[in-house]
Amino acid sequence: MVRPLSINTKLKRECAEVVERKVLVIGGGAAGIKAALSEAAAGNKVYLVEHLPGIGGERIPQDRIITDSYSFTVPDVAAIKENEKIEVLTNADLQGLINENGQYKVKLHCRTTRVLQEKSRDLLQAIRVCPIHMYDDYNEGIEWRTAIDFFNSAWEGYNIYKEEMPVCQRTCPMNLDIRTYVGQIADGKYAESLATIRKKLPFPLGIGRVCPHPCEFECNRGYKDEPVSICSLKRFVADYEVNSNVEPKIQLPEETYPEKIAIIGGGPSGLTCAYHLALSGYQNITVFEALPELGGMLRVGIPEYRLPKAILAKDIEFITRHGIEIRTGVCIGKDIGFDDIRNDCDAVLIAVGAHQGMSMRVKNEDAEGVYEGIKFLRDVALGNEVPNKGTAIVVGGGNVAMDVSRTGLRIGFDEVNLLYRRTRREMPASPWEVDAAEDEGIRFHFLVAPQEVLVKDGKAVGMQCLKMELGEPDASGRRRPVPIEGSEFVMEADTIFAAIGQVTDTSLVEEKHGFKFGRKFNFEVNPKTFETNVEGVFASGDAATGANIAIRACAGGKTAAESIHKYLRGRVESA
Amino acid sequence: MYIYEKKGRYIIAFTDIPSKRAEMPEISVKERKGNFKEVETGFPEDVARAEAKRCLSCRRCLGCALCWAECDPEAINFDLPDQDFDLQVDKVILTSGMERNIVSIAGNISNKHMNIVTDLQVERMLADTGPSNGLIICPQDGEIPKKIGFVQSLGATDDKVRDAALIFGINEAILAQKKIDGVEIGFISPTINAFKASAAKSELDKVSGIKFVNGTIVKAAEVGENKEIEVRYEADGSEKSDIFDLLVLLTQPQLPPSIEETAKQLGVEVSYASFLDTPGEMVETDRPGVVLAQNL
Repeated sequence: MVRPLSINTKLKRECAEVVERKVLVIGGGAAGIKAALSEAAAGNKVYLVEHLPGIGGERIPQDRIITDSYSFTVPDVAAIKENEKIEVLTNADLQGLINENGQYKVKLHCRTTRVLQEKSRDLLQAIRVCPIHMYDDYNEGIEWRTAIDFFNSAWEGYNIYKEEMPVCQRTCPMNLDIRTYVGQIADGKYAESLATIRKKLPFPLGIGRVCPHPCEFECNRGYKDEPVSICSLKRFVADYEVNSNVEPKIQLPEETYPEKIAIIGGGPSGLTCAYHLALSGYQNITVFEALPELGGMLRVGIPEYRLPKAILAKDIEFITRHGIEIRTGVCIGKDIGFDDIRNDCDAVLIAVGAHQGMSMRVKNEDAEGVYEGIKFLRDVALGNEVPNKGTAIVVGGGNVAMDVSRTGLRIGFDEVNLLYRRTRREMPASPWEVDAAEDEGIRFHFLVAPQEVLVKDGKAVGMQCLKMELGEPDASGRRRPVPIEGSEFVMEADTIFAAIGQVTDTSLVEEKHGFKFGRKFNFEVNPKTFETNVEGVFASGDAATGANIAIRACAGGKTAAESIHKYLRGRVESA
Repeated sequence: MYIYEKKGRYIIAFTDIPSKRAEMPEISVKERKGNFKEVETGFPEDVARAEAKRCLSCRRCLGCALCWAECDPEAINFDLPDQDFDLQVDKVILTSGMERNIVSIAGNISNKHMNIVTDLQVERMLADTGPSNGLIICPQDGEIPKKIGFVQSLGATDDKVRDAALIFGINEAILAQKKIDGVEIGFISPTINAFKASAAKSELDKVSGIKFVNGTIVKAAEVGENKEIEVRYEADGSEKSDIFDLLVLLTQPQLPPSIEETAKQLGVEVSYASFLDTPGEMVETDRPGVVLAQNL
């Protein structure tokens, strides 16, 4: 094998000495090239840094209307190449920039191009033989590029585009091997496809139904026509197994470990963690679930019409068959103390989710008839008694608000009015959920904010609202809603649901345990290992990340399982 | 079917693979009333398999080493590592980068129709060294368009940024006129009148043969066998329509997140407009040693 050459040894030498005046130019476009040349002409040493593998490129000007004499802006790339005072760093990302005593310390990371341009006379031939064709980002997808390609003819900038994983897999919080399992479906190898998914994700039936599929928004096919229906394909293979009455095989490793692990919370994150620990060989895993049934938010947050309980039960049965002890209806901090669990077990995972609704911060919020949306969904799922007569107001614009509204109509309300303080465009809910809610007859009221719950005889009878308009964009890039003065109006309702976000109920632990918490009452963890600041205790899922999508909770559970394994094995080794 | 020539190779879109994604079957709204029956019913097997075949199986470089075998020794090195550098500099010059926002250009227009392109794609086509060797073509069939529409939607709140986007589009229209004999060009923007009233008026007067309309686009969709694009827009208080062979959506320039992040680290507040003040010049910021290189 050829030994990697350091193409920038000269630069490394220069990094050591600080004598000359040095200039960093960020961006290798026309403006950056012009700036680099003028700085070099002034006698300065210039580092020209560009994120892409090449610099330059003709541009159409946007500061003047062109005439015949000069139409394109053509940066002088040849002058850059010849100038010894200019060091060009392409494929480079800035990783740090610190001001220190009037100087700037810069950390740069240059991604490899895998091509040493100066070593070949004819790299065009390489392009001709390359069998890979992919979206051409240098040319805005006007054509396809090969995996090995040059950036432009002035600079050339040959590079091989290689990634650890395809973009869909990289986008998936769990890094599911989408390309493989979709390919196996195309080949009709459904069992193999499902096995590929289950290597990482034990909830193909559930996630295949409810995932907002961030992968599909990045799918390269979307540049050509429309993205592949990745999520629904996952559901298809999972359904296929159920419909053909195949009992999924359980394969546990021969090498086993005796350590005792407690998992607090039987939702997507806790169960995924238990599943992966079992696959690693742990035989003494107990999942404690406060509710009477396993499943967490997938069971008591997602309504039946999106994910039937009987279907979810099949995913859960598959997981628990891996030799995991289940204790439902046991609330840690109430039925069993957290200390008892911790003293009794070698490692503990806290994955209690985020099941507590956030306050609307309006007057009379505690009146009878005002309900947390998430509690309503939970009560419906568990078959508890819930209000279901007359008119309902739902406040919020996320997926929980859609679930509450659609469930409300199904359970008997005559009319459901949804209030959201921005417009449809800014709604955080998935657009297909919004469409479905509209189809089913939910009445949307955009640019409306709740102001006060109106109360008669101690019971809510309606909401005083305020109309809003969109002002300047805020930090999130969304335009901030601004109240319109004097626009107050009253909307009558028998029941009011607040669905504006959920937080974690941390009452399972006490102050003396010394846990650190984040802004959303979530357990603070090391984002790479999901360790809390308390030794031997890990946290994952919504309890660690704040309310988030199910597959991210599963991903956290899997990472936590790996960290717990590492922690326990490390403990044995050092003992 | 469309064919692109790529440096001596041809890429063909397979006609036996659907271009539209499969739609999830659902029970009707009527069937959902008063019960919790599952709404989505899942793909039938044939639909699922056809859908799975749409996957492009994006692999990037496979490491097949065909190029390695073709080239001089040592030119291709699959194990060449990434490199990290620590520099110390006295001055940092920031440029605006070349990111343009596609999402906000038009709420209800998708550029999924092949003959709807962005101004960036047209810029690549216009470049002599670009993918089509300087020809403007309709991506649907590779034909030269006889009638091109440029449309701008409101987006930028800053006048300077909005004008920059508009000038970019007008320049493309002028270049298209020079490239294609007798091409008809329509240009629809809600801010054309405001732009004409501004300082650039004298320059715009020199432009002839482009039909400017002060209007707001409502909808754009494919019509007819040749997949022309019908545009519906509001102008002078009524809804009108026009048909183009090729429709160009004007994007909106913006700062890439990486530049915003760098500016934050440097302690300067910048927006895209900060790079538009004096074309081609350098502008000092209130931070010593931090300079903004203006666009040109």
